[in-house]
Order: sequence, then structure tokens, then C-alpha cells
Amino acid sequence: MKDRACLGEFELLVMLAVIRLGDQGYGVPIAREIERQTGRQVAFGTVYATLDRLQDKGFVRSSLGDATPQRGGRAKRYFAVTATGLRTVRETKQSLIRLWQGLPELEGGVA
Amino acid sequence: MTSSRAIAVWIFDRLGLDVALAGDLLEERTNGRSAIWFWRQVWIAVVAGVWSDILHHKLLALRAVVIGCAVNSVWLFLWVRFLHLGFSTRPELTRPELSIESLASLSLILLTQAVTGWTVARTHRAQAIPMVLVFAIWLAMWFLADSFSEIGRLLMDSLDQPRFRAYLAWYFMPFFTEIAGLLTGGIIGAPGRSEQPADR
Repeated sequence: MKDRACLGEFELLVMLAVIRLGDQGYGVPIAREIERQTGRQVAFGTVYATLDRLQDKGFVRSSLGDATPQRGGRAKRYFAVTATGLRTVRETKQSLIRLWQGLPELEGGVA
Repeated sequence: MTSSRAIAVWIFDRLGLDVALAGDLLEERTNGRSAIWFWRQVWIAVVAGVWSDILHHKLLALRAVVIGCAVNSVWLFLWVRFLHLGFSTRPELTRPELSIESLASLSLILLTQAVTGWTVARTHRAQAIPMVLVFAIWLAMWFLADSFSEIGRLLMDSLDQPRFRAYLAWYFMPFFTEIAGLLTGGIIGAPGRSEQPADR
């Protein structure tokens, strides 16, 4: 069987948030998007550690943007998903769907 | 910029953490997030950043421990050879009291460990503080392993009889001084972001 890169749960959340935000994805909106969609609080430090890891794996790339006074003159770091990252998200989705199928305990939506 | 934000920025700068992350936190604070939220985020960012640095530079971490031990060996040799100051922490030998001799010993521990911390920081410029922390953790583990039974005995005694709490604090005094010296030296020796090598 071919060895595939697979995303962890939080890595997948971050990747999906980056994809959803398009070219507007930097730390603040990425963290807010995850909070809005999942309802759970996220730490910016954890988001950045995950983004650094995803960048090392070649799933996202980053570029420095503009600095504003409200940021203490510090530049924004924009993240964008790469073609490899997009393929890995699709593969992770397929793997999850395959695992999901045929489980009677998860049918119907009533716990 | 308020002083608490300036402190946070200084911490990020000294630890060499991502400036964009510092900017994001400042932006959120300006947009109305509470001070508790802000400092909680800073704390998590520091722990995650330092831990990530250590994981990414295991060999450097090993080198930091070797260099720290080498410098401390020199101090130990000089202490044994030329100084005859005592700092006994054994309760049956001394009462916990600040004598001239114990103060001199603590000052020397602080000074020598500051030099050790500075040396570790200067020899690991790109990951200065994380590497000083690695050595501090190593020293803490060494201390705990070496004094496990004594600490356990003092803890039990302190629970039974409050008068032993002073002895327990006294027992930890040189160790805390050592760690304080290391961190102080490390912070002084750590280059700011503008001085750091570009290849981090």
C-alpha cells in the first residue's frame, strides 16, 4: 500500500480554515474561523505551531504582509494552501469517509 | 504601547518567537480582548514556541547540556580548590539562617550560574533561551534525582511539623538561586531579534 501523508485533527481544521479564507488567511482570521466553525477556543500559539509544521511539510506557504499601528508595527503573515496541501486534504477526507461508511452506530444522527 | 504589551513584545523578541504572532495578539488585544486572554495566549505561545525549538534542535539541546556541564565543572573545580565557603542544607547540621558565609555562597552561586547561562546563550544564539531552559531542566532533574530521598523526608517532616518548612525552603535555596542565575545570564546573553542569525 502506498504510504500517504495524513493530517491530524487540528492540522485538518487549520488547513480547512486556510482554504476557506483564501488570500485573507493570517493568524487572527484563521483562529476566529476555527472558533466560529467548531465552537472551541483555540490558542494562537498552537495555531502558529501547527502552521509552521504544515509549512515544513509543504502543505502551506506563507508571505509577509502589511504592518499596522494596532499590531505594534508588526507585519501580518499570510498563509495559503499549496497544491500538495490541497491533495492531502482530499486524501484525508477520502480516508475519513471510508472509515465512516458501514458503521451502524453512526447512522441516523441520534446519539 | 502599554507596559504589559511592551513586556509581551520583549518576551517574544528575547525568545525569538514569530513577530507575526506577536502582532496578531496585539491586534486582538486592541480589538477588545481581555488582559487575561492576552497573557494566557502569550504564555501558550511561549511554551509552544520553546518546545518546538527544542524538538527541532535536539542535537543543539544536547550540546547545550554538554557546554553547561563543562562550564559548571570549571566552577566546581575552582570552588573546591580555592574557596572554602560552606552552604550546608542538611537540617541536622545547620539551622536555616542567613549568615555572611551563606549569603556569600548564594551570591557566588548566582554569579557563576549567570555566567554559565550567558555562555550557553551565547553559544546558541539562534535558540538561546530554549537552550538555557534545556540546561536548567537538566539541572533540575539532576538535583531531584540526587536529592529525592532527602526532599521526600523533608516534605514528610514539613507536613507533620510546620517548623520543618523553613528547613525545606532552605534546602531548595541554592537550587532556586542556581536556576535564577542561569535564567538571568541566559536573558542577558540572548541576542534580540535584530541580532539573531537570519537562518532560524
